[in-house]
Order: sequence, then structure tokens, then C-alpha cells
Amino acid sequence: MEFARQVWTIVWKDIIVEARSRQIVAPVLVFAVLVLVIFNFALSPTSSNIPQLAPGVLWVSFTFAGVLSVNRSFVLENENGSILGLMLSPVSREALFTGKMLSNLIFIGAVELVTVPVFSVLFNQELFPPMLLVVLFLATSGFSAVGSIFAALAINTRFREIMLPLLMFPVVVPVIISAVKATEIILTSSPAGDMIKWLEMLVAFDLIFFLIAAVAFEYVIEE
Amino acid sequence: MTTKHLEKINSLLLPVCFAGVLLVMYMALGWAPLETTEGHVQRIFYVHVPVSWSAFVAFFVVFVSSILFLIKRSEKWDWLAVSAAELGLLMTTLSLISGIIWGRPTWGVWWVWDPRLTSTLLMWMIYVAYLMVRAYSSEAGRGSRMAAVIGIIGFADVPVVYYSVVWWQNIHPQPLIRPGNLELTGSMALVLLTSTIVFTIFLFYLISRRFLLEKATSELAVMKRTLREEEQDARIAKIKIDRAENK
Amino acid sequence: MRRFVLAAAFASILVMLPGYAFASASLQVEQHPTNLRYIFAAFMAIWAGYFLYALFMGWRELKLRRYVEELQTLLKDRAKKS
Repeated sequence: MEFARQVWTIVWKDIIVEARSRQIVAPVLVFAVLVLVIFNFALSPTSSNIPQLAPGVLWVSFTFAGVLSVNRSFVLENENGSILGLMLSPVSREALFTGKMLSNLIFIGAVELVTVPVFSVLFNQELFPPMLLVVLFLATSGFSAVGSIFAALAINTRFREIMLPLLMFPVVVPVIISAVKATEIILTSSPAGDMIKWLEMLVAFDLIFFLIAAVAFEYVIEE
Repeated sequence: MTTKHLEKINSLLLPVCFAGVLLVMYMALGWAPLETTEGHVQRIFYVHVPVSWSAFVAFFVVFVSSILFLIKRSEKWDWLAVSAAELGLLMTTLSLISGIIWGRPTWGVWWVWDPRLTSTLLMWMIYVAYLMVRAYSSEAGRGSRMAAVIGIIGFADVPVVYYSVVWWQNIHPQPLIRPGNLELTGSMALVLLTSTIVFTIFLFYLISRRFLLEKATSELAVMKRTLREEEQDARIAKIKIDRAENK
Repeated sequence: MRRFVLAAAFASILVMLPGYAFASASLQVEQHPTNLRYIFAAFMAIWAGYFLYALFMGWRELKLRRYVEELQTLLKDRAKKS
């Protein structure tokens, strides 16, 4: 219970900071939509190939937007030196990591929830397929687990803006594969048999990387 | 084990490695029987597989020594990790190159997005990032800690990537070409085994050599720092003496 | 150190040339499509990789040794002065 309270304190702190500074959600949202627009011109989808192209377009947009958003979350802490405050606070490292991960999940999730309807309108899909929510949640959890630890790690390097995607993308490939495939099944309304498989993959990834990252986080931010 | 011991072992290992390499060349190119479906190109197999195996062994060493470094905080595990990572990256590069060269005549294409190839490519990228984080870290001590975390997460990621690509492939309409499994006859297996042993010995020779280099470099850096500090102390002491005399 | 580099260079040549000659002699006789270029390229790539790495490591060791020698002479000079 104590753990949940600590996690919530961190998350609430991040939400307040974001509500006052408006640094993450709004710019990242605009970026995500811009990626969709650019893909429209790059691929020039026709009504016949949209169901094949659309999942890829959606997830490329989310991946790029997600990495930006995750990066901001720690850059802000680092710039203002508030990371020291976080480390001094009487909160376990695991709680700190979980809180950071959840707030990243919330911010990226917020971006995604707005981007999906825009995407559906632009690419003429069903406005918001309910199953997509599950996929979004699972994939974004895995993404923000890996993202939170690597963002905390990348602020210790000199070229952090470029180091973060270099570190993250190879590791989150399983998430991207599963998310794209699951989205494809939803958008093409093909039989849901394989769906379970992809959701299992996402859950497995989330669990494995949440556990590893929560333990390893302690070593990333010590001092 | 002291540096002297390691150096001695190294000097014994070097001729073993060279003899082994000659033996592998003879066995792979001459002694091994002709594989009937692929033809002679299959002989690449006898070096491609051991190189890939060495890459995996090296990254396993990185994984273990990263964990030990985080627990024990002894510099020697960090030296071992960076040495093994560098060698692992070299082996992965060679494995990718020889695989691409082998793929062209056997499957007709350079590259397939097959689970093994994809996970090897991603493994390569993870360890490139690993070495970059080391090189670009803002402070030396931090770099090794950050790298150790990547060494652990990266190694855990490889099997996950592998299985996700396996599933991805089963669902995707497959091109007919696909890295099949070779039927190994007894003598082929013997060649492969010999070659794997030789490459593994060579890997450990190179890792230990790289380890000694890393050790010497970081010890020298420490010595340099203490020297500079001593020099500074001496200068300050001299200034103090001068001032006292002026008074 | 130089000995190590020379040995590596020697061994690489030793390995590549007879390997190639041997392969070309024994393989071309048979009817199978030999694709000798590919075999040669793959083996060559691997040994070249090992060789270049050995060379690179030798160069780094040489640099380190020179540096240590410099430091030693510096220390000797200082000992003389004081």
C-alpha cells in the first residue's frame, strides 16, 4: 500500500508539472499527427492498400512521438536539478521507476488517444475500434518501461537526444512487431485467432522488461 | 590470477590459435565432404556458425560480467565487459557479413528477415549503442555503470526479439527461400565441432589480450591523475614557502 | 608488440593464400556449381576481420607503451633535478 502511495505521489507530481508547463503532450501530439501527414504523402495510400499500410503508419508515428515524450520527461528533471530531489526523497527506487513509467504511460497514452481518431479520419478507418485500446495499453506500457530506464540512462551521456532512440529502438522491436500485427488484425477485421498470440507476446514483454528495468533502475540513477 | 599469469597463458595460446586456424582451413575446405544440395558454398557454414557462436559467447560474458560489476563494483569486471563487448561486436559483424555472402548463392538473395538474421542484426545494434554510451558518457565512472545496465537489458532482449520474429514469420506469407537446416553427416559435424572449439579458443585469447590492454590503460590513467595531483601539491607548497620568505 | 602484429600478418597470409589455392584446385574439378567467389569472399572477410582487429589492438598497445616510456623519462628527469 505504501508502495502504491509512493508511486502515486510521483505520478501526481509529474502530472502537475505537465499541467503547468505543457511541455510534453501538446508538442508531441502535433508531432505525431505531422508524421501521419508525411506518411500519407510518402506512401500515397489507396483504398485497396490502406489496411496493410495503416498499422505501420500508426505505429511509426507512435514510436517517434513516444521517444520524444520519454526523452522530455527526464531532460526536465535533469535541467532543473530536481533529479537530486527525487533521489533524496524517501521513496524506494522501484517506486520511483514505476511512477516515472506510469507518468510516461499516461502522457504517451494521452497523445495516442487523440491521434487514433485523427488517424482514422485521415485514413478512412473505423473511428475507434475498442480492441485497439487494449493493444495501445499493452504496447505503450512496454514502450514506457524500456523508455523510462533508457531515458534516465541517456541523460548521463553527451548526445542524449540521439543516444535515446539508438538504445531504445532495437530493444522495443518486439513491441512494435506485436503492436503492428495486432492492429492489422483489428483494422482488416480478420479472424481474431492470432490476436491472442500477439497480446500474449506484449504481456510477456511488459512483464520481463518491467521487472528487469525496475531492478536495474537503482544502478542507473545512484550517486 | 595476476597479469603475469594471463600474459603467459596468452603467449601459449597464440600458436595454438594459429595452428587451429590452419587446421580449420584444411578441414573446412578440403577434408569435409561435399554437401549435395548446396554444393561447395556450404563450406562457408564451417566458419559462419563458429563465428556466430563466438559472438553469442562474448555477449554472454558481457552479460555475466555486467551483473558482477554492478554487484561487486570491482573494476576488473568492467574491463572484462568492455573487452568481451568489443569482440562480440566484431564477431557479430563477421557473422553478418559471412552470412550475407553465403545467402546470395544459396537462397538467391543477400538478406531475409528471418528470426536468426533479424535478431543478430538487432543484437549488433544494441552493442553498438553499448560501446557508444561508454564513449560518450559524461563521466568515466558513469559510463561503465550505464553500459552494464545496457549489457543486461540487451542480452535479455535477444531471445524476445527472436521469438517475436518467429511468430511474425509464421503469420506472414513466406517467400519460399528460407535458411533451412542442413543434414549433417558425421564428418561434417566433426569439422563443425573442431572449428567451433578453435574459434572459441581464439575468442578467449583476444578477449584476454583486450582485457590486459584495458587494464593497463585505466591503471595508467589513475597513475597520471595521482602524478598531476602530486605536482600540483608541490607547486602549492612552493608558493606557500615563497610567500613565507617574502614576509 | 611489433612481433605480435607481424605474426598476425604472417598468419593471415599463410591462411588465406594456400586456403584459396587449395580450394580452387580441389573444388573446380567436380561438376557442382562451385561459386568459388563466395567461398573465398566469406573466408577472406572473416580472416580480414580478425587481422584488422589484431592490427588495431596492436596499434593501441604500441601507443600505450610509447606513452608509458614518455612518462618514465619524465619521471627520471624530475628525479635528477630534485
